Amino acid sequence: MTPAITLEELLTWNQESSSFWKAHFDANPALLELSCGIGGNANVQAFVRHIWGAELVWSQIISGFRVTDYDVWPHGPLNALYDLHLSAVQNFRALLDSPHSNWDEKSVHYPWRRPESQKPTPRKALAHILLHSQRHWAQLSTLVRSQGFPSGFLGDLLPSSALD
Amino acid sequence: MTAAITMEELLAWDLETSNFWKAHLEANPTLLELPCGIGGTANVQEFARHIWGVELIWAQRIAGLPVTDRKDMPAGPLDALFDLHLQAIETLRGLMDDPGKNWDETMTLDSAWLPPEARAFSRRKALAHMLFHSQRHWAQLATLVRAAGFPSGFNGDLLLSSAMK
Repeated sequence: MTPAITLEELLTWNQESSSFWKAHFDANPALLELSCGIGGNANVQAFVRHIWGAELVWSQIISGFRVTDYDVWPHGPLNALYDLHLSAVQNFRALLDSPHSNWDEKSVHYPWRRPESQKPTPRKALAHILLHSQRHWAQLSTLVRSQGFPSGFLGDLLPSSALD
Repeated sequence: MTAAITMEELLAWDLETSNFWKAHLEANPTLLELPCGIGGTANVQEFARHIWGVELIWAQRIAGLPVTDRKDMPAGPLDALFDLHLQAIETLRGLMDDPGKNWDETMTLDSAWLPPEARAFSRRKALAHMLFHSQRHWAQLATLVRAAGFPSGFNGDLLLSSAMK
């Protein structure tokens, strides 16, 4: 049998990481004002908006829903940004629970796709966005530590309870 | 059907990413001297050693082989560090090609950085951990070199990888 990690497990890991950072920012709100620069974001709050906003956009794209325009996303406060994540998770949940999801059809159109690029499968698109967040949380962990505020974030999969 | 990413796909993504950084660091060797700090490493060369060395250690652990001591791993040059990655891949390739391998078998690691409740895990989890560990660190390296004034052009997102359809 080819070993694999399910998208359910990746979603659980994603939720663990988001929950950690939401709680950490709730407890340390000054961190949101730290200068950033990753992905062109001026500060940590804008970076967090990018991470959770991208989750919502991709959840809508994969679901075939109308995509929330970037300009319409809230800029804050933190709870409003976290709601982007919660809305995304709701959409991911519905996709994963649907027996009709065709995970291997090259069907996902995203507005900024280049004509020469193939459409990704829903499986790839969902894996992409769940790991997009994990990669950015890793960068954020480095960023806050380098500015003198180590977060204690254990971002590796091994300490996660997402899978045994 | 439960949607999943296979470890074959994750391994292919890992290879793509390592190949990118090997070529990039080869073409821009001064980057190896940039100060780092991630994972307690002093510079980018040490950081690359950490990433590829950890791959080898985990490959050996998963295979049940004797584990190479970190202090016995080369400090450089880049080719020697990349060899750590290549050895890890060779070991993993052998495991993944074995149809009889039990990926749900439990293994344990008593290490202070792991919470006690996380010290027993399946080989499947260990492999996924190893492969994501590298991807997360390459993402950090992309940020580090860009912040130091040397953007790499690294497209690390899975969406852009040919490892998965």
